[in-house]
Amino acid sequence: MENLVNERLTIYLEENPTVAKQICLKAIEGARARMAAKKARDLTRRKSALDVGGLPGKMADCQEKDPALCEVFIVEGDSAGGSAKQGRERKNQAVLPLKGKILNVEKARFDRMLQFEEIRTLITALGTGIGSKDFDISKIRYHRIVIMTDADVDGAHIRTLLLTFFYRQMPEVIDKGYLYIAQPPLFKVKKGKTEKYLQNESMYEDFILDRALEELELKANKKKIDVDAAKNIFKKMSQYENLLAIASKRADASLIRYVIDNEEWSIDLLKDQKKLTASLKAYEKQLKTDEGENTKFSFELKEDEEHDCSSVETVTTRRNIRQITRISYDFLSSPQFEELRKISQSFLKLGEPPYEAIREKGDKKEFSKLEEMRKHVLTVGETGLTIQRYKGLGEMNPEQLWETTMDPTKRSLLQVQVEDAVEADSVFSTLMGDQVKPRREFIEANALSVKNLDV
Amino acid sequence: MEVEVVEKQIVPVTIESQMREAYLEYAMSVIIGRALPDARDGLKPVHRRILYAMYDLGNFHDKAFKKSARVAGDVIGKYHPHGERAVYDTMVRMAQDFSLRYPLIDGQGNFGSVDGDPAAAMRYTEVRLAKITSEVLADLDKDTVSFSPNYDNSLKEPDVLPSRIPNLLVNGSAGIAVGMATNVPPHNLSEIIEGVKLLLKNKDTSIDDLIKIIPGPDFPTGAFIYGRSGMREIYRTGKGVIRLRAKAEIEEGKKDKEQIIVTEIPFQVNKARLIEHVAHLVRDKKIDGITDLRDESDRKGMRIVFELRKGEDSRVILNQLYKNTRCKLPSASACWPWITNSPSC
Repeated sequence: MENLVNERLTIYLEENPTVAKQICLKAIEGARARMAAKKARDLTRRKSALDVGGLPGKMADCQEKDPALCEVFIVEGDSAGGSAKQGRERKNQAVLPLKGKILNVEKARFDRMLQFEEIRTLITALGTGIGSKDFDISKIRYHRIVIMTDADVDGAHIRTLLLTFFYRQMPEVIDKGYLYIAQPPLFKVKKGKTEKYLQNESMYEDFILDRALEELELKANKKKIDVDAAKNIFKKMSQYENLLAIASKRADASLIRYVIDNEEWSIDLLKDQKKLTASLKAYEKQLKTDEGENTKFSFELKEDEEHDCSSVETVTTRRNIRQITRISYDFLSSPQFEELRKISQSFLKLGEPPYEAIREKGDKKEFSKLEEMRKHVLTVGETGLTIQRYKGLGEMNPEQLWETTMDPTKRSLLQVQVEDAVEADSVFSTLMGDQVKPRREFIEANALSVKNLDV
Repeated sequence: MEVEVVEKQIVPVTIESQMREAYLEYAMSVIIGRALPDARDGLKPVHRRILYAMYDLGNFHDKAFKKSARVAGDVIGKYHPHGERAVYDTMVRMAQDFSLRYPLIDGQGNFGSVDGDPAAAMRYTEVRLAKITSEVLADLDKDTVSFSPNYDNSLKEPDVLPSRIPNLLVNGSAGIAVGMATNVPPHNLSEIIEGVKLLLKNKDTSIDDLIKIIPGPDFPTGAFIYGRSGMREIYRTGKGVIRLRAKAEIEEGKKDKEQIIVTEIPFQVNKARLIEHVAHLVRDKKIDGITDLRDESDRKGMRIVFELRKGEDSRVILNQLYKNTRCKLPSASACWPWITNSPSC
């Protein structure tokens, strides 16, 4: 029976294509309607899941109802949440603690994102809804959304995740200028009963240098060094030292320093084997005087056919640990090298050695190297201070957090803006997307420019 | 209610620069300071800090055990300002003889099992350094390695341990950082030492000669390595896949029925989950012919029994098991770590 119907029907439909087409269209239409209905159902269900019970339990809302006056602090974890709740101004400051790291929305699908608890909490708290149809910026409950994460690396990561969420899912929040980043202090410096908070490394250095230079008089080759010039150069030097420290993770730092400080080193030197050998021999001699016979050094010149010059491969052995350093055409022509060289040359402005640091009381110290003098100056600046470096907001007392970060009359906020939409888009897809290779390339290219390395 | 807000300072920043800065900070810190081991001692910072804190406490293999909570507290307070859960979990792993080929910590109490049972809470368990760890820490006080200040500048910690044993090779290491990862399988200590001796005699020893002495990894849980080519690929290029297979025997059961007995399973496979998985496969008829399966492991060792239907060919079923379960899995797609700490492998 089945076979017979099948056979006859096939023949009939093949002979009457219009009828067949109509039947198919009917079926497709039905399917569409069913799908639309399901979507609508899902939408309402989703809405109710977000709306139910009003605000999330962990959230501490503010008294003010006018969004234009309200601000919400998104903080990382309950340890920081506690400090922020107790330290806030309850009239217009709300606190929303988010637990752990939120989902990377760049990689996740929309529905998976909505299943993620902390993201739902965030959306509920903001009151705007989510998605192209439901999102309504006019319903936003706060005109200042402040991301306040810890000053450590995990804080940095959570900040990137939150920025990704806002950029991809609520771009209007950024366009309207509602999104801010708080700047909790990185250091607390205490002397006796006076305390001072410093926001970043640069301010910290300023503070220490100012303190030291009040007490010390610096001289280069018997000539007095101007305080501002010294401060300027010392700050550059610390940047230089940081760059070198990162570079020396993979090479002999003192050799790199030698190459940078020695203007003879350039691409032309790689083309002149005789001079190159002489310069390396000179370094070996200097190394032996500086560090003694236990440090061993050897080198080898290799052919670089592509650039028609030599490349150098050296082995430095300290404490029986071999460090291999390669100095090639690529290194000497890299922007990092250029930058290091530029900074290094600016040091010369301070004048020739010997360098002297004289205290007001009269005791004098002499240095043959600028770097040694800088270290001495920093030590003088740090004496007598108790220095605390904050890792988490939970380390602060509530009133400290209020004073430094939340008090509108004292704090400094960063307002997030999009300057170049194309650039921003590519940054997000490189850093947060699912392709590993571009991310790795980005890291390799920028490894030297990292500002705050926490190990 | 009027709230008067006089803002002190609002600085505009671009989202691009904020993202780049914050991301780079995170990525570099994870790469250098968290997820990847140092080639010289095979340790990640958290491992090194645990060992150094125990050394500091005098918690040696010939001294009494100390409560894990005390050690964990020291590690967090002195060197590693992170969660205590993470530190204790790492300590537990370092004491498990099924996780490390040569455990670096000697544990007293319940330190978990291959079934994935968790260790007892840190207030119950006790630890001390394992005997072999004396070699990892040997001569630490004799100015052998450089030290750096700890996180709050109040103490110093070693940058690397002066390990006498090539810990990276014998214990292996796995880590996922940002944009890069590493996975080094563990090896047999005697074989590695023979290999090192050969290299000391002749530093130009070829990889093929080394493979004769060090034929392959040696996993703490035993089992078989299936296929040599992937393994050799790793030694030659640093990249490759090692497949592991459980060790299984066939026993004659009652009434002509055969039994498959599994006595060793691949590295880092959770036994309880493996059995659950096979049970699912049998129920869904993906594997046919198994009538019963039991975990008969006890203090004498591991023993998982698969009872077969009468007349079934045990070799066919065993092949089906290998094919469908994690008894055979790609264990190590290795990318050698951080020999020089630069972000390239």
